[in-house]
Amino acid sequence: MSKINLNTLRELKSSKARFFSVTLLLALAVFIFAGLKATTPDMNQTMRSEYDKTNLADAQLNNSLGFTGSEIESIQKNKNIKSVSKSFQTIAVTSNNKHAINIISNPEKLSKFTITKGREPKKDNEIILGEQLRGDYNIGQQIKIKHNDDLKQKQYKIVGFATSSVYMKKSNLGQTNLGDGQIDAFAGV
Amino acid sequence: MSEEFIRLSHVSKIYNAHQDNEVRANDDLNFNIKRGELTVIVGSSGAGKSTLLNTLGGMDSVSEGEVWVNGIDIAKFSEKKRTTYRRRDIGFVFQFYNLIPNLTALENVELANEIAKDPLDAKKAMKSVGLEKRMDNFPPQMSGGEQQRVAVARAIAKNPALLLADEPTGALDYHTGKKILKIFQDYVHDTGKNVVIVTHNSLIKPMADHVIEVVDGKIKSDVINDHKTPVEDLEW
Repeated sequence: MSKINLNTLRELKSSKARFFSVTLLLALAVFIFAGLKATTPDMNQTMRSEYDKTNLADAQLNNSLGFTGSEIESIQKNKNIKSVSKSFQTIAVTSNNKHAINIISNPEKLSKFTITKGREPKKDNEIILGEQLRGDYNIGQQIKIKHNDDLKQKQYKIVGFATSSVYMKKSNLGQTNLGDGQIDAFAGV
Repeated sequence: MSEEFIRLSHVSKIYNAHQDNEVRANDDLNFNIKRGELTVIVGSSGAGKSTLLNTLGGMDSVSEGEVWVNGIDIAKFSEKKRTTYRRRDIGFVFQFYNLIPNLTALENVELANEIAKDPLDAKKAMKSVGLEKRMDNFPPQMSGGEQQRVAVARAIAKNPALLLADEPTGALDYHTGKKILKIFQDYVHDTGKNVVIVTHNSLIKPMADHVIEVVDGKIKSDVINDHKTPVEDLEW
């Protein structure tokens, strides 16, 4: 062994504890930096796979007056568009004024819901709530809605909870002039 | 007529040149050393002897002048070339030993094997300084004289063209000092290579072939000694 290596080896042997502590400190620093670096691609990948799984729409057209049949046809005919899905959407406030909910009719093909508990709503008075309201309501409970021109029912039975790749945030999913100004959750009927 | 081995020409080492606190450690030195000479450089503390030795050994650069060693002007060397020169052609014995504390005496001498082109056997070098029994001791376990002898063995084992010693007997007693000087004397006699010893002890001047006296950075006298006295017969 060359003398310089021999010298280094003997120095380390005589101060094992110090060598070990410094190594541990370095390992900690490396661990933190590696973790920070790995988080971005990790998050990107998770998002990517979630979007692919739920078939997230590339664009969403909203019109408060609705679309006519011919308008929808011309959109479907456009050769750049692969798939079109139709849905109704309205914002409702619970009767106790606590939550403003963005209620969507179940999108079947694009931007699908992922059910985390319970089942899909089958009857007209059933509703599935977003995970944002998981702590506030239970399955089987009735949720009462303040009067809304677009909704037939005044109360719905909660049959399950779901996540949507469109509404991933935990709070403030958008603005509204009902309730307290912020949309708290989405729901599907 | 032996040829010239070392020649210094108008060599100066100046710190803080052209300023108020300019210091001329070596001031316009000129001398020649022939091949195979045992040279002693004497002077009191601060005279500039160690600076001169460092110049010869490639440890320092010079501010002015030419330093010819074995036909090459080392004053013109770059850092890298000076390092190679130091490693291959010079054996240096320091005043404060500079042994590596984590290596045994034998391993310290074996260092020479790793950096010199044609080294001597480390064990033989240890024997020639009289330390066959202390080869596996670490420097902190040895006395000053023994450590200095290990340093001398390390320098000799390199088989250098030029052996330099900076106050080798500075920290040693009379008898041990004599032992060390005898090693240098025998080295010149047996190998015909040059040895330059720097010392402030002017009583050992008679053992040298060539005595150079340095005062205040300048050369005071440059004397060839025709009638040498062997170290054993010296008294101081």
